[in-house]
Amino acid sequence: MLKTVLENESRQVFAEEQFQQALHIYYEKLYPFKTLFKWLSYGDPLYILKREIAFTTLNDRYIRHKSFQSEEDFQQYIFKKNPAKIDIGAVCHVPPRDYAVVPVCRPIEKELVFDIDINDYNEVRTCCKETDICPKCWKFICLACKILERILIEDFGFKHLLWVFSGRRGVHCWVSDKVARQLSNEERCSILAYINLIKGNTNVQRKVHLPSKPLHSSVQRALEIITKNFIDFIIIEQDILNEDNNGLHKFLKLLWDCRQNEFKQVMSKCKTSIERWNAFVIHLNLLQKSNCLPNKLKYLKEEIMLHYTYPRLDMAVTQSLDHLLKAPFCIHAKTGKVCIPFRVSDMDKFNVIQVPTLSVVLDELNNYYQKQTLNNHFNIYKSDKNFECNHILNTSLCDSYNILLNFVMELEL
Amino acid sequence: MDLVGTRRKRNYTTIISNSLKDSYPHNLQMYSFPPGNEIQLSEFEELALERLQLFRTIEYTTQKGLRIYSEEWKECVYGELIKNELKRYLRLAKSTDFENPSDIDLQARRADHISHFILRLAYCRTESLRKWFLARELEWFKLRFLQQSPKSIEKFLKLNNLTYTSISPEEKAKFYSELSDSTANAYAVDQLNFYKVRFTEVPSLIKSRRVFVHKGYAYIPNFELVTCILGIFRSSLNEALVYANRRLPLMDDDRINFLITNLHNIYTGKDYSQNFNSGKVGLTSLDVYARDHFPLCMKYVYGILKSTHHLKHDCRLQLGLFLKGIGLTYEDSMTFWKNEFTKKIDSGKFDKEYAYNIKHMYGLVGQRTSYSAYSCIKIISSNVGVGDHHGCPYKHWDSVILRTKLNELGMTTEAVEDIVNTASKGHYQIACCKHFEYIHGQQNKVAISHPNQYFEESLECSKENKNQKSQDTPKIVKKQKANDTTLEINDIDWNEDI
Repeated sequence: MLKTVLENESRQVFAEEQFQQALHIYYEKLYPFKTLFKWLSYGDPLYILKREIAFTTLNDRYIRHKSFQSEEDFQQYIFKKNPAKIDIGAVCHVPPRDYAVVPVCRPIEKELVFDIDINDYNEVRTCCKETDICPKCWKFICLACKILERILIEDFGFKHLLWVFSGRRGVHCWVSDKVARQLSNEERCSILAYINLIKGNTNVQRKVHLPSKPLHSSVQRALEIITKNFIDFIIIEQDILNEDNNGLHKFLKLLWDCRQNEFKQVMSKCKTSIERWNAFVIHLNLLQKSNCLPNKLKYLKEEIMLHYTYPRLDMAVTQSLDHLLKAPFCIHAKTGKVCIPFRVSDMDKFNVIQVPTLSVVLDELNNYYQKQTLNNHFNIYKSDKNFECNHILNTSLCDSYNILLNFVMELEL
Repeated sequence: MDLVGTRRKRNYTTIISNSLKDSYPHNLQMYSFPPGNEIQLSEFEELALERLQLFRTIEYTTQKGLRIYSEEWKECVYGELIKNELKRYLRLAKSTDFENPSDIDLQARRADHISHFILRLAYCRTESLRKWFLARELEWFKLRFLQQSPKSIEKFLKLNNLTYTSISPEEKAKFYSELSDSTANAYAVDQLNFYKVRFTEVPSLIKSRRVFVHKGYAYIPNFELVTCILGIFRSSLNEALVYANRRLPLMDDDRINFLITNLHNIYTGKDYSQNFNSGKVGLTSLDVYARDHFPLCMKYVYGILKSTHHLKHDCRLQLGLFLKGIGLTYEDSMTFWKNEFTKKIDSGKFDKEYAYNIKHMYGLVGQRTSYSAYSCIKIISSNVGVGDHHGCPYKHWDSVILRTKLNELGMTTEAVEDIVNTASKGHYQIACCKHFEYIHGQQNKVAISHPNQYFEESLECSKENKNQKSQDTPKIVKKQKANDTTLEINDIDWNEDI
């Protein structure tokens, strides 16, 4: 059966039933239960018992308030339900599975989590629209991750960060230090407010407003990171000052009302984005020197750079303990991509288009089996149980799996 | 707290001393020990009411739009305290020193101490009551702390065993530029002492990016010490309140039960979680109501829903709970949301993804709490992200856009400028109030603190205009009367941004 499923898949056609079967095989052969379970329990069986796990079934039902005593329970449940998605929730004061008996389930601890989605960059990116993503706009996410990681490590002193691709258009970050897990909602909000510079809804044009005093060291550092990439990435590649893609118009709106026309004249004289940006900077300096710039616009250039590149966080995810977040190594239902962990330091090499999909990894697994059978007459259907994680090493998920493994080992459980 | 007549064993120390001077060495207290002397029931009641009045005064002054702890604000609080004859609290509020207290000073300290513990009992019962009480206690504490002389603060820290050691000169030199760039209002870093505390101890300083943060520690200058002390006061009081709530059932005393359970209702504003108005507003009249009586925050969101047939989660909550508060029944609400949403998605998808949400608002599923409509403070302090529509227009919109939107509503240029100016100075609720006044042509001086209050005031105004009767009684008085009849208030959303 495995074979027929895989053969059909290689044509990239996912009939629903086939997807179901493929998913089941994925869970059975590849999903790293052991490591995931070890991470979520932090060496304490009681901890995982009180941890809420939620599932979305293939027919879109949502099952909440589940918790598991052992890895086997967890595994068996997933084999049985074959869920489309696994969500990780908070550790509660009583095991959530007693929800029917004790319908008050107070969340006590959870990792500090962050979520960055590409569609929050729609107003600044020019290459894609809506929920699409390409290697060009993936760079927004890269830059955001780099800035965020340094804040978390250098300012807050966190050590245990797990970064996961969310399957389609963004990334998640799980901060798993003990201090981070024990943060109250209020403390989470304060960290979020410290990090967040992007403020305002659809009725605000320039989303960044800095106070006119010296810049906070975390903002200075973000600007250092951004400056390295700004010209190449934002000005040249994203071509934000082009008239055709409406970029110049949008850019002018970010400036203050009374000088918009003046800047328009100055910038329209030049042809390319980079010339226009330089013209903007020169003119702005001129205004500054002749004291024509109001004090609250002292950092206008910096504000604009941050507006285009600073991390745009989904705040609801970070704010509260209640929020559930998709587990690593899930399969994204729409794209079929695996939600793989990655390292921010290697992120420039991360190709969002080439993230392995369910069909690809199952193909790889199949190829590996075939080789094995040819070489050793190795019977694949017998010796599976204890080798769950070994299979994953024979697919392109190997590196990502090692990242998860390292992350869990560094927790020193 | 030991009440005469209860036989419950005390399991913690109490202050039992005949000398008030020994019991109350300082004007400021952390209220670590409950009072232990006997007290007359009449005094018990008087003390409770006085402190409640004090807190209402503080809250009212802040709602007027004065910047909290500013000189005008303080003057206003003093004025109100004199008006309400709360002399003891006025004395405490103005005192700057702890030494050589007079008898009256000591009596004031005693009243402060005992009344704090009485209010603890009354306000420990629900999360929202605790939140409100905590916020007021903190304001009251900070008001006095800021008045103290350095010597008095030193004494206070010593009395409460609070010690802070400053960072070494080497560490200061190492981070010199970071400290001077990142510490708000620090003009001469050389002359400042810095203390290193865990960042979790000073969330409010982290939140506003007012201090340098490195490897999990916040470097706070001496003038921000008050934030640390407040943090400690806050967490210990919060813990004590939760504890008191657990123990409350053990204390069953008919003489004070009534007072304790009804204290908050005595002067309170209105609660919008109970559907008192249920059924008053029908679906058909909703559009008219939205046009004439919704505050801008709701009017705008309502318009967005009508034009795009979709709202994000937070936005749905802001509007949905408001509609519930003005009296839209659950059934109507469901019809309303479904009608709008299904113009864009099919009804199956609505049932699957959004219906639960509506039920949840009415407390029919999940935790089964009937949620209150959001107050202004909650809306103002809410986080709005890219692509969101909810929030307070006066706070969250650019003034250009606010101006355009107000113009679209057909307001005069003069009115628009006045409102936009007020909003840009940070007086969001006053701006909303002005908007109200311009629409109804009245100067009724009622502070808007809740979108639902706005709605009711607006409705009232138009009724009055119709009847062409002038009514001189301020509305707040009427509200109080209406409230005395409500027996239990469970879930007042005094959701403060503390």
